[in-house]
Amino acid sequence: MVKIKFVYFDYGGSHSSVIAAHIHAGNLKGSRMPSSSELMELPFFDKTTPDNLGRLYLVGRDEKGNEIYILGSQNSNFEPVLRSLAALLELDKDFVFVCTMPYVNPLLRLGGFLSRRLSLPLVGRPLVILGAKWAFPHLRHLVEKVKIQTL
Amino acid sequence: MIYLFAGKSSVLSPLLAAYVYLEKDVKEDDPLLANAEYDREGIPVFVDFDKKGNRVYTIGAQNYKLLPIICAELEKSSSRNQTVMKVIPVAIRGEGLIRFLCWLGWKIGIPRFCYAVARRWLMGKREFIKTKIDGITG
Repeated sequence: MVKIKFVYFDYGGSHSSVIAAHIHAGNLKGSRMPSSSELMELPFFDKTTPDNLGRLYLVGRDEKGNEIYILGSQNSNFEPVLRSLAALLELDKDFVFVCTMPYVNPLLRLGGFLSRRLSLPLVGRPLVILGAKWAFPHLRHLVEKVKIQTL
Repeated sequence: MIYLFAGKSSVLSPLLAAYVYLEKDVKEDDPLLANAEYDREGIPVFVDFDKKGNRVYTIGAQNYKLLPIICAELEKSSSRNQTVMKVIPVAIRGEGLIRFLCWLGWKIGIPRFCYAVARRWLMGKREFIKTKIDGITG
């Protein structure tokens, strides 16, 4: 059976994409909302730097053994570019690209900007956590949809 | 090997760089150059084959500087032993304004004039592009 590589991407690759990738990889199981400490303990969550942009990071594997990656793209409309690159490389059947930008709410955006861009995590993190909890049900729904579409 | 010239617009400096690489004569009535109809983010434009039979494309993306990294990452994660595609980022200062002019000309129905201005501007940057891509394409 062919293994697929799922790539969850957003602007910075440190919040919505990380949560979605961890949900897909089974690190955030169940229907309950994760606690603030659970979110902060997630690898890559609110920890990436500009050097991480454009790089694929393996978050884990799903129940079928498919690899789950995250990517910070520094672009809010990056799906056509990724699809084109994969097609030119003849890797379009190996990758599924999932944009999590539509699920980035204003709190997550502001908190992420303060925490990552301005290096003010003390101010930004509480907003990030609040925004992440707000976005969590939507991201879980997105992951379920992606899983069903790639059955 | 595939050569992909990347910039903010697929039909401005990356296309000129592709023409320079292919040693093609750039005419001011070139149908692709500065043509806003073909300028779609993320959609590659096939230019031609080079002397060795390699395909040459251009692509436009806001974060074009990241494309070589992303391309290398995709190849690495697919466990490929050899590099299939070389991404060459190209940009000229002031290109954003020229791109806007082309887009505006296309939208308001005076594309010919705006494309001609853009092409004339690009032609003046030919030597700059030549020095910029010299050696990069190998």
